[in-house]
Order: sequence, then C-alpha cells, then structure tokens
Amino acid sequence: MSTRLFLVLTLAFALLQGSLLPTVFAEGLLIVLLVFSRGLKRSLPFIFLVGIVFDLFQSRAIGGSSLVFVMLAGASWYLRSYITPEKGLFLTGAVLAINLARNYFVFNSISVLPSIIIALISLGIFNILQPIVSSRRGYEVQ
Amino acid sequence: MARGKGLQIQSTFGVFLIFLTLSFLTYLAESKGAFKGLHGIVQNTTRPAREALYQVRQGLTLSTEIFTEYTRVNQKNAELETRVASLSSSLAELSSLREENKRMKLLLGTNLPPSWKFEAAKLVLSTGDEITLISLGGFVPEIGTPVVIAERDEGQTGDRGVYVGKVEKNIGEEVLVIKPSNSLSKIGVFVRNKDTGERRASGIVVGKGGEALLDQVLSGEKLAEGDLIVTSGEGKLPPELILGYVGKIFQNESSPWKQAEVKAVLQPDKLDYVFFISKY
Repeated sequence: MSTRLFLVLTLAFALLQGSLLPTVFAEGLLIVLLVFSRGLKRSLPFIFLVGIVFDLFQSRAIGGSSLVFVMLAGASWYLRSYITPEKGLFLTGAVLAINLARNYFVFNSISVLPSIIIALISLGIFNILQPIVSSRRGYEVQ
Repeated sequence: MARGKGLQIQSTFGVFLIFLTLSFLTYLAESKGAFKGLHGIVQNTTRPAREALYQVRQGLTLSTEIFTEYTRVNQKNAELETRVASLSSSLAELSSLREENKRMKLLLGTNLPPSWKFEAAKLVLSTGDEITLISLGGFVPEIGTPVVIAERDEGQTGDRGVYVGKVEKNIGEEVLVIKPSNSLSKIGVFVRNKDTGERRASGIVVGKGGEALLDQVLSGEKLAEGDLIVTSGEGKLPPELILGYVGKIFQNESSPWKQAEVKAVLQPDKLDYVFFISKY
C-alpha cells in the first residue's frame, strides 16, 4: 500500500468514523495493511501519525491511539514468525486486536458488531491480497 | 548476512521503541493540556463536514426505522384484519345461535306436543289480512301449512300455541300467509272456558276482511265473553291452537245461530319469529 493512499484513507476514515461510520472501524485494517506491505520500520512514522489524526478528529487525548497502534503493530509484526496459522486469519486477528484495544483504552467500551463486520471485511481482503502480498519483495509474512 | 539481518532487526526494534516513547510523551503532554489549541482548530475545521455526514446518518437511520415500523404496522394490520374477520364470523354465528336458542326456548316453553315438528320463519311484513315470512333453514312449506307463535303469555294463552295463519303461497324465498281475518279463511273451532278449559261450543271462524267472526254457533250452546277459541282439528289444521277469545256476542232471536267477535290474542306484526308446523 502506498503511503499516499494510506494517508488519504486515514483522513477519509477519520472524518467518516463517528459521524457516519462506527467510531472504531477501519484503523486496524489500514495499519495492518501498511505494516505488512511496507514493513514495521518504514510504517512506524505513519502509524504514529494515524493515531494523532484519529485522536484529533475524534476529540480524544492525543497520543492514546498512537500508543495503542504502535504497540500492537509492533507486537503483531514480531509475532508473525511464531504464529503459523492460516495467514489471512492471523492478519484478521491483528486487525481485531487493534480495533478492540483502541475501543477499550480510548473509548472505554467494546463495540462487538462493528468489530465483527471489519473482521469479515479484513478476512476477505487478505484472502484476495495474499498472493499479491506474497509476491512483493522483502516483506512476506512468514 | 545473518549479521546484517540482526542489525536490521535491532534497528527496527530501535525505531519501534522511539515511536513508542514518542507516543507516550505525546500522551503525557496532552494530559498537561499542551494541545488544546490544536484540538480547537481541527474541530472547527472539520465540524461542517462532520455535521453533514451525521445528518446523512440520521436520515438513513430514520428511513430504516420508518421502513421497519411501516413493515411492522402493515404486518400487524394484516393480523388484525384477519382477526376482525374471524371475530365477525364468530359474532355472526353467535348471534344466529342466540336467535335460534331464543326461538327454541319459546317452543320448549309451551304445551305444544313434542311429537310435532316445527320450522322457524322470520316475519318480514304484516299488512291487513296477510303476513309475509321468510323461511329459515331452507324449509319450503306446502300450501295450507299452519303457522303458529309459541308464546308463554300464560294470562292469555295458557302456554299454548297461537294460530297465526296458514300458507297461501310461496313467492321465491318469501311465504305469504293469510290471517284468520282474511276473507279466504274458514276454520273449524271449539270454544272453551278460559279458566276450566271445558268445551262450551263449536263453530267456524270466518274472515271478514280486517276482522274474524265466530259463526255457526248453535244458539243453545253457551258462549261467554273471554272464552278461548281454539282450532278443532278439522280442515288440515292441528287441534287446540288458539285463534283468539270471544268478544262481543251477537244473537238474532230468529236465527238458530249465534255469532261473536273474535278478539286476537297477540299482534303478529309485533313478532320476529313464527313457526311452520311441518308435521303433526
């Protein structure tokens, strides 16, 4: 995923979420797509920025979402070598974990239905993208 | 190569730690109120767009709610209509059963012989010397079939059947019945003492158009006002049906007969239901 596309999508979802879409929805998917397409090191600045943008647009304490995103993106990146389930499921689990963690630590609630919806969407996307992701040089999920 | 990879991992971890620390410090600074102004700027800038999007969401939610409510109300409406139809049907059946019960009670309450068979009819019209009935239950009476009221007016009828008339003709669903006052009517009768039931005299009740007259009573036979006039059983009519009671008595000294007014027991036009005697 290109960083430009990532930033555009970030701004769009930050605006839509809360007003039209559920408060926590697509951020987990965006982060996982970015990390596992560009690698953790190159993604971290943007992950940090995503957190800031979402906190500003949703009137939350700045830094809270960044903390959650950076921690979980790092955790999923480092765990990818140890967990060897079906790849689409692992990535979906990472998306779900990011969303639920943000829901809990930033909004003090758990939204089950939006989480299930985004998990299903993620599973679909990863299963479609997996062959494409695997063919990209250097950042294959092992 | 392994060393290179190791360095890469270490630098990735280092960057990870840097941004983790940065996030933490940002959060700390926010808790001290360092970014108040920034929040205000972003909120003011994005408010119009967020409000418009929120209204779109409200509109979609409202439409969904209206549609859901519409579907629910429609479904409820259909259920209620079915229920109303069912209840209306039950009510009609109940009304019909009540009426039948009422009629049967009338019959049971009289001293009419239980071996006789009765068919109910509804009074439609009473004019002059005729009444028009509609037979209930599909019974088609023969010409001459007697029609009675089953009444429990003990003071006047002593719990007997009261003769209303006899069938003159059938006109489709309607049955034309002639009263005793009809000029075509001639009925053989007995006169009985109202209190003792003792037979006093016999005669014929003839219709004179508008009134009935007891005729051909032998002048030697006793007649008293108030005596009951009942059918004798002649002329295809069952016996002991009350026609009326003796009113004013007329006697011509030169005539072997005496006559009397026949006073009606009941007014047929005030009735709802009467009975054909289909078998006696």
